[in-house]
Amino acid sequence: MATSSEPMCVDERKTSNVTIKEGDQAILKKGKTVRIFQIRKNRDIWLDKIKFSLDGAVGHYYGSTFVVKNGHMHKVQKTFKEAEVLGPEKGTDNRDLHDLDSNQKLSREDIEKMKKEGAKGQEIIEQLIENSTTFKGKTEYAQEKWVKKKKQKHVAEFTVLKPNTRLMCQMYHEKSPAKILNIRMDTLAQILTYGNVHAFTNVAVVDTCSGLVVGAVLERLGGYGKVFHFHPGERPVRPIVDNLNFPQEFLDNLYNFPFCEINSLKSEEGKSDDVIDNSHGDSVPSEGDSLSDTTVKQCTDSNTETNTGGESTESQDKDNTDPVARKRKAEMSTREANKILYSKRLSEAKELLLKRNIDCLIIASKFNPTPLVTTLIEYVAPSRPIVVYSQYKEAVMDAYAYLREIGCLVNYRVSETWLREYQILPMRTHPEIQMSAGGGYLLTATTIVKEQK
Amino acid sequence: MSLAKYHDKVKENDTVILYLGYDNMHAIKIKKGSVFQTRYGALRHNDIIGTTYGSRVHCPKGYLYILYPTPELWTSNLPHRTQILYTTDISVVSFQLDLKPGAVVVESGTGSASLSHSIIRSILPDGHLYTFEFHKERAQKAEEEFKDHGLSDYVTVTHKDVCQFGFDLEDVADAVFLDLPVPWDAIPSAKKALKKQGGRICSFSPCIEQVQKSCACFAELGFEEISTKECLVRNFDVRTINLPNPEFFSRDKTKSQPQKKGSRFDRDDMDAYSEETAENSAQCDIVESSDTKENTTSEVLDTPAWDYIGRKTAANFSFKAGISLGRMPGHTGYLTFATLYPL
Repeated sequence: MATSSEPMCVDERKTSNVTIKEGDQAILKKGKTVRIFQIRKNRDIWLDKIKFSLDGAVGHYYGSTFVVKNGHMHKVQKTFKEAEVLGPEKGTDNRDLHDLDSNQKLSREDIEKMKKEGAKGQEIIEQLIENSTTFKGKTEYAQEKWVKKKKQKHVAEFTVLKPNTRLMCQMYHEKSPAKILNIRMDTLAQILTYGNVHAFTNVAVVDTCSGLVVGAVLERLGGYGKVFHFHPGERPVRPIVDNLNFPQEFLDNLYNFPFCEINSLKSEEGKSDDVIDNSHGDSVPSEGDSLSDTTVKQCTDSNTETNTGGESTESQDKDNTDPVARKRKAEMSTREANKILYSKRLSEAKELLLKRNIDCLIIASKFNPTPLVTTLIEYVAPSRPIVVYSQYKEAVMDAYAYLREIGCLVNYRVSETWLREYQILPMRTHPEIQMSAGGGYLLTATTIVKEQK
Repeated sequence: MSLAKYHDKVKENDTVILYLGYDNMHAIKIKKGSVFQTRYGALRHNDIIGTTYGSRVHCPKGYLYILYPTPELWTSNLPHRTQILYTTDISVVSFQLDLKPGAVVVESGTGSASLSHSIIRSILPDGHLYTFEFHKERAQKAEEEFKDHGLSDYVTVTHKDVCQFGFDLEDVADAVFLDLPVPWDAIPSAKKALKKQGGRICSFSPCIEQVQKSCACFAELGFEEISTKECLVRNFDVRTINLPNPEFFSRDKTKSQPQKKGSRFDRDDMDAYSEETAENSAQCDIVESSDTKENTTSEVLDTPAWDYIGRKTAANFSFKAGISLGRMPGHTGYLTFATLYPL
């Protein structure tokens, strides 16, 4: 037992991940506004009606706060606290306060002028306080709340964050929950934990939630272990995995498995893998993968996109000269090479799945989970967890009933979690006024050795 | 044996989970020659050694399953030395602290090491957990368990009162977890332990007063995105329900009345449930009871599509439902999370 400890040796590879670099996917957070951008020099972006370039972020730590001046980002120290701008004068209650526009003497133009002249956030707030007829009559709590609101509106400070599963889940759940099948963070948390997703496990995931679950699994695997992403259609749609910016080694362990190949997997028992009918190798480079300029880091399987935006404009060249013909020929041989790569990866995936030693099966899709889980469960090793997610309790119950009939699982549980957030302030502590109405349902169970009948 | 990596066959000194049925599991350590008494009779350890995890093992009066000890199964079956964190909260903590391989985590108090096992699982092989416990025996027990479970490489247990003496760690942790009666005494030292590039912190407290003081402390020390949540789990029992249709006429008393099978129609109105389908023992192979004893026609009625939610006969409406009866956990603790950003 230790009585004191030395600091861990910091792995260089891991520290290099904490500074903002060009090409990174980065989250810009301003109050409640959370947006994701790719850091590209000399390219302007819009955030909260302000236009600026991201150059100023490069080289700083993730988690740094910036302010925009003249279209450029400048790093700042932490923002001021509400308490710092409050004076000694305050009221006791709002009996004599009337809510009128004329309470504030500064006009919108005045404020914009101050901003243009480069006034600091704190100065603007102080001016607003000065010019408010009612401020000094508010209670201390009302003043704090008022300042907080004004800060949100007028102070253009934001933080640059490294995308991770937690932030991506939060972002999507707030903005486009349908794209992630309404998976709330606590539900995703249960999926990962009950699935015992960790390094050295092989995880099969059916994911039609923009890659949220695949991304979360990849993060928990840390590059150790394989992920099989079962998806409808020819190519998986998983923008979140792109946003998470995994190193290539992680993505090399990610195998795509289209639904349409599942039947051939079932009939594959013991067959040689040399000749696998690949009628779907005709994958035209598609825009399905978001952010086509992330050609450097693509899942090996998705590495069919070699044309960047630049090349496509060139091909619009009306001249039918040799260079164009040569390019077309080059494109075709790329397609051929991609076909071969695709086929190779698919047969690799089949070979691995047929070993029947998947350590965790997760279903999180818009499809009826029952056929998926009853089909894929045979590739899971005994004494391993499975997790089925659905927005609908009925779907989870149906899967439960079928699985019980098959009899290959024990330790069943059908559940949902409730999440409640609180406002914690002195004398103002209470649960938040609004809460999430639902985060979906889970079926969890453990596989057993199937008795030979 | 190792909680860190799955392996196929039971070996001596493994900790295994015996699954006897719903809500009926035990964790045992395998020792040659030992015997474990179950409701199905004696289970000889020698009979288990060499079997594949997930196998069914027979006892004189029944059978059970040998399951691999995941941290979740361990949490459900470990010997309590203190009140523990359960998987619902553990999941949220792991998720909100961004745990992943390579993360360095600092924790106090270790308690019964329920959360500790989960943390280690999530951060191995290149992460590390520094866990602190002020009770000597509990610290020793935790260390023994980590050793038994093949996790010693990933964890350092320290017997220390961090509220009095601090963690004595600087710029090492990606995340800190506090489960202390007086967390604000440890928060300044926790801040120091976090890496300069920033990190996440969580404080778990059963009482709102503790939460208020902890939040004030976080704010004062420059933590941001301070957020307090609670997460509750609700389990469902999947059953087929038969709701009898009421009769709006009186039966002619001279005619002989068909006997109604079962007591369900005679029970209190509140209790109109059929035989449950819940799995209540490993021996029970009954999936569900849809055998209703209708006293009038049992023909399924031809109902319009919008009316489809279950099966309707003249006498009954039956459907599959997920039921929550009785009580559910109403409170475990408040989870307060915050971020420390780099300067």
